[in-house]
Amino acid sequence: MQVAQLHDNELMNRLLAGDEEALVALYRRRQGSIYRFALQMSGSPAMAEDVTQEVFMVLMREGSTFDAARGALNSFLLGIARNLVRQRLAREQFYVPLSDDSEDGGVVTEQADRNQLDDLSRDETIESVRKAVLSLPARYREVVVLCELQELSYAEAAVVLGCAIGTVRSRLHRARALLVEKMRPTTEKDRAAGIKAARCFA
Amino acid sequence: MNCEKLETVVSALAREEIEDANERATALTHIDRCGRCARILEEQRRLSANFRALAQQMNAIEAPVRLERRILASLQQRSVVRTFPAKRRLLPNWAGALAAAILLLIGGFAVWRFQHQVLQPPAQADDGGAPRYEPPGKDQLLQEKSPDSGQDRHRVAKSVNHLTKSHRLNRGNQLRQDLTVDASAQTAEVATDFLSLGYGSASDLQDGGQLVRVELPRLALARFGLPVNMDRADERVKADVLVGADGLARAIRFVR
Repeated sequence: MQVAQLHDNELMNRLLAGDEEALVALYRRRQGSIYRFALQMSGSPAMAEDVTQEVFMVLMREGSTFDAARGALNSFLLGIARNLVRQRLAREQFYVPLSDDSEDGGVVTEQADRNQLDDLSRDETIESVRKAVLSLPARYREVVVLCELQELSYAEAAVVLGCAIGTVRSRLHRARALLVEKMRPTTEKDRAAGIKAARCFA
Repeated sequence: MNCEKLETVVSALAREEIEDANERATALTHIDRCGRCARILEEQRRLSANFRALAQQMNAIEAPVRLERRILASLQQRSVVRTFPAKRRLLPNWAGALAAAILLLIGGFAVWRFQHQVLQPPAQADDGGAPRYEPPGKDQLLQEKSPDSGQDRHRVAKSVNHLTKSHRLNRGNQLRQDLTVDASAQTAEVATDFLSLGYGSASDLQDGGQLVRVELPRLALARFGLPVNMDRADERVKADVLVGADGLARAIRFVR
């Protein structure tokens, strides 16, 4: 069986035994996920590149700390990437500029008097979602990136974040509510504020 | 179900995560009746769709190729370092430097002695009655000394015929030997300084002593901090032992 076809755990065993081919195979298999995670968290290709490199440096140095019983290798690597990104963001005080017209940090400009999510082109919509995710606080941003963009399960995300599954669920719920609020057109927000007290007790 | 309850499950509903059929049906029934909640669900579903589109768009993004080259270079660098691991140090660095300095001093002292080839006159007796040793002649043989005799202080071994030396005893239990080599000798011997064996003191030799030629395992050199050629560890090395009148060995020197 070729090295590239081996399972992650087997590749890790070979890596720890000094097999260079195993590291290359692991890198080629996992680099995209790590890089995209770091890019989605930071919005910076340069930071994403540095983080990805550092993740595999750590893997070479401290790969023996990986415990397959605690989770998949991908979760292990994403956990390292997550810590590195947080350290760098804290150090660089990364800031994603939002729309100047929005006092509450919403992405949709005040000029829109219609639902822009319906009228924007697909790419613009996606770009607005990307920016909205970057504008979230880190603890909400990472659950969105892991569960929605990386498509990890709650259990896998919990391993990456080092928290309970219920915590992941609640944070994701709150993050989605924030994103919907951010992306809601201004006129919609005004209308929503006016009828906030209205409740349907069905 | 009311609006407050629906807000707690709307994201799960949009992500199609509600497995309980009854709970799902109840939520959808409320949505059919509540325009506001229906709008919230629609926003959540749209958000999910946008997430899927964003994820699909970003799935094509990979790390730059140069990153793989950098990581491989780091891996190869680590492999080179592993091939030549640092030898396990039994002694701290300064001990090695100190040992080298001592060897240099010994070597330099030996070279200085050879170069000078000075025949030192017999040392005057120290104050306090320190004994004086006459340099032995070439034809001297090992002479037995009566323990009661206080006169005969010359002790040489048979094989030191080629050597002329004077021994001077200093206070403080330290022997110092001025070694000269008879240039006319066919086979010249070189010896180290006398190394105190710690028994008794210099004044004990006032009653005389003997210089006894012995052979010891070469590893005995290590006992006195001298370097040992491990390739010749099985061989023997000659030594002169200075034995006091009481029969206790006072000092030793190694001879080559």
